[in-house]
Amino acid sequence: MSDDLDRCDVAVVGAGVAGALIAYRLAAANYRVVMLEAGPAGRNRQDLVADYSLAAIKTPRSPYADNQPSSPVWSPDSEKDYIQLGPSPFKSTYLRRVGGSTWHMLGNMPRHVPADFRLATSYGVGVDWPIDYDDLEPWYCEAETELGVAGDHAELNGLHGAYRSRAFPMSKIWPAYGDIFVAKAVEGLTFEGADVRVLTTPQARNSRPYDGRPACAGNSSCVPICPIGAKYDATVHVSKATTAGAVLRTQAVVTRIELDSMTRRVSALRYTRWDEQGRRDERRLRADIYVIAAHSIETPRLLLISSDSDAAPTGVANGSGQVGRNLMDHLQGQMAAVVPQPLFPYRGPPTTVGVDTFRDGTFRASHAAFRLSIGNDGMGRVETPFAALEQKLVEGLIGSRLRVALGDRLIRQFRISYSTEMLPSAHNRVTLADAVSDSFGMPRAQLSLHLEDYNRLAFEKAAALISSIFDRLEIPDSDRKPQPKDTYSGAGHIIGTTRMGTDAGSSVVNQHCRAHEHDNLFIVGASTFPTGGTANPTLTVAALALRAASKISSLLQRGS
Amino acid sequence: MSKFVTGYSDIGGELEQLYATIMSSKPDWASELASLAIAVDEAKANADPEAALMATIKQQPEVGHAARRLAHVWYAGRLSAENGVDAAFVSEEAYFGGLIWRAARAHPPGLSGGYFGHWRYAPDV
Amino acid sequence: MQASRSRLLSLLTEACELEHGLACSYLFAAFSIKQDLDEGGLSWKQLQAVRLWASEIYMVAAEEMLHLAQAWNILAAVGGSPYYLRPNFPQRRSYYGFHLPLALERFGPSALRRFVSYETPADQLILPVDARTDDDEPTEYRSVGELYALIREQILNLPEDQLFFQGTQGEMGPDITHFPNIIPIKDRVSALAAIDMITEQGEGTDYDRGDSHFAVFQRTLASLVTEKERDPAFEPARPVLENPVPRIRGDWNAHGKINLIRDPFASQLGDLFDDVYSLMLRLLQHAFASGPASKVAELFCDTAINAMTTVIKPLGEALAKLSSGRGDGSHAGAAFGLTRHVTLPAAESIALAVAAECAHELAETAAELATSGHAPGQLGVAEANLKQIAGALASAR
Repeated sequence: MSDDLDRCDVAVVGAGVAGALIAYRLAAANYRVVMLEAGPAGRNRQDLVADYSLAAIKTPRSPYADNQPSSPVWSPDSEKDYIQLGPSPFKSTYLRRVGGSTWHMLGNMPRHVPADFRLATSYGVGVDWPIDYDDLEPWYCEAETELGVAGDHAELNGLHGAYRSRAFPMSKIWPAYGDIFVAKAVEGLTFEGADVRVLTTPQARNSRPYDGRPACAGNSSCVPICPIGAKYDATVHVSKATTAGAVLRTQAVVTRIELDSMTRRVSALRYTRWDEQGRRDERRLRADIYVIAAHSIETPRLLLISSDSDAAPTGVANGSGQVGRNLMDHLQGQMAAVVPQPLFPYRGPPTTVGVDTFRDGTFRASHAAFRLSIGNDGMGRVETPFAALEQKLVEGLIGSRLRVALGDRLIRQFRISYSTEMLPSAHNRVTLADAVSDSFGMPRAQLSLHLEDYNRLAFEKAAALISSIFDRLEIPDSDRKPQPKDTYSGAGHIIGTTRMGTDAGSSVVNQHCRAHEHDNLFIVGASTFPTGGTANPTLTVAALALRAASKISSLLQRGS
Repeated sequence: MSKFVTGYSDIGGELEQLYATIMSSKPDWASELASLAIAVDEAKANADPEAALMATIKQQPEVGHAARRLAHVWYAGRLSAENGVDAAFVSEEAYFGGLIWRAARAHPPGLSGGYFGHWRYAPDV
Repeated sequence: MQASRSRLLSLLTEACELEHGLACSYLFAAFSIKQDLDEGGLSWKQLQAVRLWASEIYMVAAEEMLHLAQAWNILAAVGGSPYYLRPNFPQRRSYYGFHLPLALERFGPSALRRFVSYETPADQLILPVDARTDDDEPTEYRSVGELYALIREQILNLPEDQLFFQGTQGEMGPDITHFPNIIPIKDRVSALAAIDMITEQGEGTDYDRGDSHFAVFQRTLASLVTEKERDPAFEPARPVLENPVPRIRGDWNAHGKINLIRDPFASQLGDLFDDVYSLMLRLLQHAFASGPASKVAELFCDTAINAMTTVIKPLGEALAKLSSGRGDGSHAGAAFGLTRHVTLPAAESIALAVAAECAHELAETAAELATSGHAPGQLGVAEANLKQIAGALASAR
């Protein structure tokens, strides 16, 4: 391969979970695969843990010094790092490095439920997917095996109709001491006519040694980093891909997708390799098939930046005008409390069980579906252990009195959070901030978001449900800390922006994640979801990526 | 003095030296800590030395300030926040050795709390 | 080998002894691993590593306990009785068919090398098989996996309709036992699935060998050796005695060197450890012998597993932190001594009464010991948890 122009079978932009899985599957099938990753490959895991331990505030980005400002590919770490057009802020972030945002994901791996794929048909809101649960079910099984998902097959088989044709590769992650207490307390509870049941959460976290990685040892720092690799992150498949022969180019920012003006096929990727000394090196990569897997903000940004007055006047793959639109998240809130009985939080994964009852139902015609996570990490951000310490010190306690009083509070801290589905909306979107460029001269993304009544109403319902659980736990009102009205946090689930559909006039890619307008271009990741459901998106991202890899492989075999 | 103020009798070692170095490098700590030392000595003569020191703390803001600072660094592994801004942790050992996690009968996030599934049971620490 | 029920029961019983003995020797090694920076000799990065090693060894030990429980399920299903006895440590090389001694040894390269040999996959064995002469029914196998192959052969060669008895004995499942992977046994298919599960976890298969006990121990050994080379001062383990015992009793001292704990306090704590351990085994034995239909099965399992995780573990760690009193800098350790305690009687109400009384007495002993000036912090935790357990048994009477 020549250095400034080279050629491969498949070029993959982004070494996160979607890109890595595709690169791995295709490299294993003996195709020549090149992955271009904007961010660095990163340092040794222990060095990342060191940075995490020293950070004053343990934000998602805190272990990753190489993704912080001064790096030309710094990643957003809070809503303040975005150009926000409003009216409501977009709060979820992502990570630009080998392995992508899976580094700091929690690791929950629920599947979508069947109704999530036909929201418009079932409830008259949102849109339907071009595929249904049956199409994706075998790929969910594959994804669970690839990522290593621990779960309770018997308990989750058939949840809201989501049957499972294969058991999880590992038995469930144990619920925590407090989870068992809460599950007992809510036995027999109904809410709006439905039984409230506490179910274990499937997680990409080992419950025994799996794929050469150890079992979870309860480091309790899944967000932002698992110090031992017991939680899956996409470096697993990046490394499998390179072992299978794929080439990984790190610190390689794709600056433009080039199109052939005759065929409108992608003809090359233009990219810049950078280093810490400020050197930049412009290159070009040609392939038979191109896969954009840069997550839901960078992907539409790159497509829009690559507009071509001739072949793609409004941006690559954007004939429908849908690129960048339908930006979604799972808007979250929580209710925290001090429980009368000790629940012993701060041990084990931050959450291991939840309430899935309201992930589907006829109510979805009027308000969002939601999922509750029973927390195992105290009161979350409402009152950190450090804040509790401050409070006890201000009270003037010292010595054994301080130790006992602080301990007594910490072992009783508790939270339940809710995560709500957003409907796709054309005015929630990623656009280009033409006047503001990054250090590669590329316009930055700007975000617009509108908080709808569909979510506001779900916030109220979820809060009422949590209140009824708190009643069962006999928590006095004075010890409850509700979420302020109409406020929310991000789930880290950046969804939408290049949605899939059957109609080229209203969607960006087809059911195989292939761009309607450019037949050698695939766009993968949560950006292709037409609607968000209530499942953490990574498992569906992985299932769709594996399905796309299979499609790409058959196209390459046919030589198209 | 650290043991008295934190309520943990088994602390010491390298962290104690580290914290002592930090405190001696801060001019405003010296006189405060000296007052605290005197107050601790006086308190020890009482039947309930802790209660006695807590009473002194209420009367002498300087002693209270020093006691809070000292307890804070041991519990948190970093100095108290200033002007609402949290300090970074003093060192990795300070973060991982923070007493706050012992008080919670847990472990600092980022350090294993034990075998797979231990979180299902009451703490064994 | 001729297939017969009695032959199968005998092999399963041998498997129980072996799984049980392996679990204890792994736990002993895990108890000896340092857990805190203030124990000295560790940087924070080394602390991260040793905590991971400890958690991996506990993981393997828990799976050996699962295997024991699984063998109990099979035993109960085919007309045997869950068996929890075994010779005290150390166990002589010739006692088991695989010709490896079982001993209590602190975490380190020597213990890890032994662990690797216990779990070696059948296709990697190079050890010769010696004739064993000191047993009524000499059985030859070179690894745990080979012993299970013999069991599998028996199950395949015995008529299924006669082998398995009607009833729910043998059907202890995940809900009741705290083992998510345990398989209730009612027929040949389930029994063979159980044996496959045990073998796969131990030595792995061609597809997942990297996730077997064998691989875990090999990885741990390699990391330990590398870290020792990098930092010769690195000492991950507490200096616990090899095969410590709180007192000489029964057949102790018959099969190899034991080391008496001389410090009176540590010795009393060692006795308490053994007594709680024995009660735990008796509770589990009763539950597995009775099956899930028993009214006390769930309570006994809960109590026993809680005793394991919240009393026995901290007591084992406390012992590893206490001086042995031998004046050589050595620490005490858990003996896992089995006394002549007999199984709990089958009648549920009597079993409950005896267990509750025993737990109460042990809780009182623990409370007394916890008031001692040199009791490590773990003892206080164990004492509080033991009191809860005794309370749970008492309130069920």
